[in-house]
Amino acid sequence: MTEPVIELAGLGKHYGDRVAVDGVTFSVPAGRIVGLVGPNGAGKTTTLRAIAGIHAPSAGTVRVAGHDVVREPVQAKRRLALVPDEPALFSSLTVWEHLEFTARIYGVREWRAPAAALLEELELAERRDSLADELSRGMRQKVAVACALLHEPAALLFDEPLTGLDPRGIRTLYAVIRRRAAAGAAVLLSSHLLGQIEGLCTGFAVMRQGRLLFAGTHDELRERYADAGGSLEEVFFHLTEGDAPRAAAAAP
Amino acid sequence: MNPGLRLLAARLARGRVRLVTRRMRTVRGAIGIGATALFLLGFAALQVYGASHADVRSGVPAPETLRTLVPALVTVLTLIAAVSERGLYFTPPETGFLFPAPIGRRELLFYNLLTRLGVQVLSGLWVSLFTVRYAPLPAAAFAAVMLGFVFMYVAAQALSLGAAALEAYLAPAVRQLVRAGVIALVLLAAASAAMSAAPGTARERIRALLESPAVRAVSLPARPLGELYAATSGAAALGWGVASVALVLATVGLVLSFDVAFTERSLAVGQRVQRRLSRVLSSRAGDGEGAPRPAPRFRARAPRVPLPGRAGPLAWRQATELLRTPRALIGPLLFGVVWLVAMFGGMRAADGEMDAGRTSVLASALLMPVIFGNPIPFDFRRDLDRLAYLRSLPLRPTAVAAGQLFPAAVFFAAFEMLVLLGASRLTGTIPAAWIATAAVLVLPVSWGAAAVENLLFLLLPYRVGPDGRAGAQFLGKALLLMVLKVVTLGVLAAAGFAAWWGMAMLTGSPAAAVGAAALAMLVPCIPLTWLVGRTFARFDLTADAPAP
Repeated sequence: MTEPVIELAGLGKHYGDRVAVDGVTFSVPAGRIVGLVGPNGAGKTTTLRAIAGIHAPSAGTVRVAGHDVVREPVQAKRRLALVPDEPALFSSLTVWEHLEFTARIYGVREWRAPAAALLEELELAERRDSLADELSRGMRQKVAVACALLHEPAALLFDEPLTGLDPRGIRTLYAVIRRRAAAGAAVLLSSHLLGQIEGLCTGFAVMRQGRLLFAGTHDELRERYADAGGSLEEVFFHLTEGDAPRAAAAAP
Repeated sequence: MNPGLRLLAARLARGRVRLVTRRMRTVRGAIGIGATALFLLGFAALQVYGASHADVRSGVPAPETLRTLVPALVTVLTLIAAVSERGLYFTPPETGFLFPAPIGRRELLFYNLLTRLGVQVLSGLWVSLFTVRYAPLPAAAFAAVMLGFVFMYVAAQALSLGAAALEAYLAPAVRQLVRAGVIALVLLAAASAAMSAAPGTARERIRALLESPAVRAVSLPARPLGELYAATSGAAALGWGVASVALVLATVGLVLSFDVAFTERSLAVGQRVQRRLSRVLSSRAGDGEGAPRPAPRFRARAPRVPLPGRAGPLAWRQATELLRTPRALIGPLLFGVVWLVAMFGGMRAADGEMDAGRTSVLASALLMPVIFGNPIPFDFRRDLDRLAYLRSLPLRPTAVAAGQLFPAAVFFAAFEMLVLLGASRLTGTIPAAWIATAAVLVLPVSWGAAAVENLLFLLLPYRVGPDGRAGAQFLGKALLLMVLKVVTLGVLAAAGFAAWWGMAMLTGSPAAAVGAAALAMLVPCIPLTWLVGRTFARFDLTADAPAP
């Protein structure tokens, strides 16, 4: 088995008395695409933000490419990228300027050719000189994805990446994600669109009320919950609406 | 600093210029920016003339007063900035791009301080236009105001970071103790300051308050700025200028020295600001992550409004949302109290001028919408992102306009009456009959003002950003708005006066005359409302609405 790129060990996050994430343990190895699924308020976004070093964990550890996110935040962040659910761009910057400043932030020296290739790949080449507020929501989403991919991160985090994308945009994004995973990136994406991501992901982590109910590969999910039905959607409802037992941590 | 952050700061500055030039290419943008430029230049010329001519400068306070007043003001404004959720605020694009990026904590803080410097400098420039004429040396006062604005922002960040550090390192029970201690200290300082206030005129009371040991102790860190503002010689100005710069640098050092993970707190602050703006200014939903707000114990509900053309539900919706958004009412109410005290606090002493007092109180209350604008934007201004929905309703545009304007007009009329009653209570100069007259006239005045305000908004729409900025054309639009309101209310007043005079001549009854005046002032509001409806119907949703 390949080395895990994203490792969560007993991750907990509390807001006063409210527990957002409770002892979550799982890992994502290089080359895998893991779907983080759960109902609203399950703690998916909090988990992604903790991995990205935005939320400080109340308990447990998070490691990205071997770096502890709390102790070595800059080193860890150099190896990851987060695409948030709402693509907030700088309205007065062009698409190309977003890539330019992202390259500088991450210290990518030879960025122009990869940036141009990313714009081609994401069908944004014709909009490279457009200001952000001239773009549709789907295009802004693609710009955020392009910026996230520019420094070739080892860990890619997507928070609801399909929101606002048309079918063609979704197909393009899938291709992009698969290529990055094939190149060795560990991908963790959260989504409510279970049917859409089922064919994309190689593994799943299912959360409810801050707790991890399952973490494993697609095949393990099918095997373990064969009684619930074959599809991810049926397993999801079985896990999140019943009194499902807490699953042991595993590498999906 | 990270080269990417440097590039971003530079590109954002250039981008703002680019946005302004792009807006200049449209007729609406050119009018707004042109009016802004005229307003600023005209105003600046007047102030510079006032500051440079000794015969025009009057009422310059004594340096001793300035030495205590300026630090106290700076301290109060700093505390307000620290608790008003502007501390540690990063815009959504900044949180999206910079928080997950490999940037050090200090670099990010320094970027925040640096990029907000422009806003502080502009605010300082703007405030200095009003204030330098009241200082012994205008150049020293200018430097004090500019440095004061920078200090206020940096000190507010320091206080916010201090609070974040307390949250991060102290146990909840200890945090509660510290919080209780801070509140007790503030109450103690307030009580001590209040006890220091001697009886006498308002000015004497304020001076005693400023010179109380509590106020002096709390505002001690800002003392160099007060000394610089009040400097009477070049040498003193130079010395206190150096001290003020050192104070600002020391505060920057304090901010950068805090070892606390602030991104989570900043994200929460940003989301709160976004949610509040979403609720108050538009229909945009706030971010969903985080604890849901607890349901309030009491949920206000406005009564049904029987407006013609089925406009009632629209008015009911606006009024109910307004009642359920107490924060939208607190600001204007506080402002009303300040306005009352500032305008009428010392008027009782001038008992010999009762008639002048009455007239000025009435005029001030009735002219509030002209001078300040309606501070409760529960009308088209809040519905910029709901215009498509409003257009889809099976209502005539005039009915939509009536439904949208009604709550704004009624609430502002009520607000004006509150101010009037407060002024009456403070001054004791206004007889009940005058107040009853004002109560009848205040609704047409408010309706006319709201109609003009919304008309101009639909012609030259603007959007207030999450950081409170409303675009470069905002001041120009405010100027146009004021001129239009003066004209409109002038027309209303002329119609009202003519009707009052005619009815008084015909019947000799003051009540009938006032009723006729109110009716005559309401009648022009009908075509005004129709005009607002027409403008709403012609609003091009794809081209006219400013981008979020």
